[in-house]
Amino acid sequence: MSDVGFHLAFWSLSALTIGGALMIIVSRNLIHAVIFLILSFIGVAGLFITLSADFLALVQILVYVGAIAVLMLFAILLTPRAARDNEESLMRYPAMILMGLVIAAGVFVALETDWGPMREGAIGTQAKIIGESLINQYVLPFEIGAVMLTAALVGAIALARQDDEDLPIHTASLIEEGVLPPPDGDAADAPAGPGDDS
Amino acid sequence: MEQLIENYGAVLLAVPVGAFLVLNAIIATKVLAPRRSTRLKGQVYECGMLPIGRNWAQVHVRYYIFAILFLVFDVEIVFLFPWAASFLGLMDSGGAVGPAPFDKVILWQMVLFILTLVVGLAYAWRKGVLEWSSERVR
Repeated sequence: MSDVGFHLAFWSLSALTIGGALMIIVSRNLIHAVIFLILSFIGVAGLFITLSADFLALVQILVYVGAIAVLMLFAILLTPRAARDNEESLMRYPAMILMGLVIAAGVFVALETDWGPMREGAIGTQAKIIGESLINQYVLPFEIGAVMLTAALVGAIALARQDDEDLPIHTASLIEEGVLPPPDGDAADAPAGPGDDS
Repeated sequence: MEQLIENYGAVLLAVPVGAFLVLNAIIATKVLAPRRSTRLKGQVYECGMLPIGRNWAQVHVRYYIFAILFLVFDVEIVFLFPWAASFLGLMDSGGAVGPAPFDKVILWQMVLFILTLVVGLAYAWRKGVLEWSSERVR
C-alpha cells in the first residue's frame, strides 16, 4: 500500500513539475508564466518530501514560492508594457547555452558533493542536522552567506533606487513616453497611469 | 518509507480530494449556471469609477526593493531555523564546537550572521528606501 502511495505521489508530482515548467515556456503572458513557475516550485517541494527532505520542501515553499515568485511578479510589473509578452528573441540561443551550462554545473555538484550528513536524517530531523553542520563544519560558508545576502541587498538598492537629483529628468522622460500623465494637479501623484485609452 | 507515508499520507489523500472539490465547483458552474453577459456586468468595479487605460500599470520600483528586502530576510530565516533547532541540543552537550571557552561560539556565530544583515538593513534605511511617502522617492 505504502509503495503505491509513494509511486502515485512521485509520478503526479513529477507531472506537476514538468507540466508547469513546460507551460512556462509555452505561455505567452509573462504573468501566467510566473503562475506556472509557482506550480512547478510546489511540485519540486513535493518531490523533496518524497525524498524525506521536508525542511528543504519548507524552504522551497517559503523562499521560492513566497519571495522569489513575488519578486518576479514585481519585476514584470516594473517593465514597460511593450515588453510584457513572452516574445521570440534572439537571446534564446545564448539563453539555451547558458541554461545548459547551469544544468551541467548542477549535475556536477550533485554528483561530487558528499551527501553524508543528509543520509542519516529521518523525516522531521532534517533541520537539526542542517543546523549542526552549519555550526560545526560549515561555519565559514554560513557567515559568507550573510555577507553575500548583505551584498545582494546593498547592490539591489544601489541599482534600483534613483538618486533624488535624477528624479525630475526621469519623471519628464516618463511623461514624454506617455507612461505618466502630464502633471495637471493631482494626476501627477499617481506613480503609474497610462494615458492612452484601451 | 513507512514514516513518510505516516506523516504525509493525509496530504496524499487531501490533494486529490481538494482537487476534485475545486474542479467539481468549476465544472458544475460551467454546466449549470446561466450566462448572460451584459456591458454592465463586465465592468471592473460594480459601483465606482470606470477604469481608464489598459490593465497593465507600471508599478513603482520601490515595490521591487521591498520584495528584495523581504527575500533577503526570508533567506535569513532559512538559516536561523536550523540553527535554532540544533541550538539547545548543542548547548546541553557542552557545545560540540569545543571546550569551555568555545561553548558560546554557537551563539556568537548567529549574532555575527544577523549583524552582517543588519548592516544591509541600515544601508536601506539610510538610503530612505524604507520610506513609503511619495515625497521622497517619487
